[in-house]
Amino acid sequence: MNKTNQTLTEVQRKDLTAYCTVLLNDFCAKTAGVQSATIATFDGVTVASTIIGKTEGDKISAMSSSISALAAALTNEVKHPEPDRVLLESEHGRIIFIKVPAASVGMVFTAVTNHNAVLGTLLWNCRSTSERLAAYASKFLG
Amino acid sequence: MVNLFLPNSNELKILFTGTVGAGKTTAISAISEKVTLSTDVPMSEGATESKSQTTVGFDYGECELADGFSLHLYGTPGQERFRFMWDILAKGAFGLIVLADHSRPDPVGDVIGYLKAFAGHFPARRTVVGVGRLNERPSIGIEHYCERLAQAGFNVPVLETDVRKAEDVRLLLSILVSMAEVEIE
Repeated sequence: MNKTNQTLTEVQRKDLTAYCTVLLNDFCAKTAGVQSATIATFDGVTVASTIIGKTEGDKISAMSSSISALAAALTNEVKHPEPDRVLLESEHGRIIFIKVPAASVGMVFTAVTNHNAVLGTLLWNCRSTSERLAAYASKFLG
Repeated sequence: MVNLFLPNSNELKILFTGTVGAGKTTAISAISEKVTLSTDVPMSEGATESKSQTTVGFDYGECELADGFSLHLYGTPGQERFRFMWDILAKGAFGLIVLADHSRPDPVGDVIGYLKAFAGHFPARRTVVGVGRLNERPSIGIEHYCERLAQAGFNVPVLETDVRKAEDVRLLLSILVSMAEVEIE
C-alpha cells in the first residue's frame, strides 16, 4: 500500500471516473450475481460505483480501504507479501476486494455478489477489470 | 461479545482520536515500547509535504506505566467516512484521548465533534484532550478550550501536548489511568 501519492488534475479525475464507470457497467453485464461494484482510492474515496446512493457507495469505499489495509498489515505481520485480493463469504454471497495492480493511482476494486455468482468467473472478471483499470490509470501518472 | 479487559485488571485499552494530522499515529509511535502496527496509505487529496499518509484501519501500540498499568493503544482514522471504525475500536476501551490540531480553523469545534461522536462509548471522566501546535496561534490558549468544552457540556482535562515527545503522551495516559485508579478504588 506504500505507493507514492500524486495528485490528479480535475480533468484527469473526471476522465478516470468516466472510464471506471464504463468498466464497472461492463463487469456487471458479463458477471452473474453481481449486486454492486465499486472502485475507490486506497484511502477510501469513491472513484466510481454502481451503488445508487452516494452515502452508501462512500461507506463501501471507506470499508474497502480499511479491509485492504488491515489485510496488508496482517500479511506483513506474518512476513507474507501483501495480498492481491481479500474474499469474504457469508450465507448471502461473496464480497471480493482486489488491489488494482501496478497503478500509480492506488485503488481498490470491490464487488458484492449473491449466490448466482460463480467463483471462478467472478475472480477472472475481477482480475481482468482491475488489470484494465491499472493499464488505463498508468497513462495519467506512469 | 465478551470484554476481555476486566474492570479490575491492570491492562487497559486506550483509544486515540482526532482530525487528520492531529498526531494520533505519531503519539502511539512515540510512546510504544515495541514496533507499532500501522495501516497508513497515501492520501488521495489534501496531502502536504509534512503529511502525505493517512490511517484507514487503525494504529496499534503498547506501553507500560510506572504504576504497573499495561496499556494497549489504538488510533482511529480521523475522517468521518471511517466512522464505522470508531465504533469498532471503541468497544472494550477504557478511555479516550482526543488530539486537537490548533492550527486548524476551529480546533475546539473539532474536539467537540469527536467528543459527541464517542459520547456513547466514554463518559467525560474517561476522556482527556491534548492540544498540539499551540504556538501557531498563541492568542488562543488552553483556557479557551476549557471554556468552550464546558459550555458544550464536556468537563474534561485539556493539556498542551507535543505528540512527538513520549513524556507528553505519557502524561495524557497517566491522567487517564489515574481516573482508572479512582474508579477501581
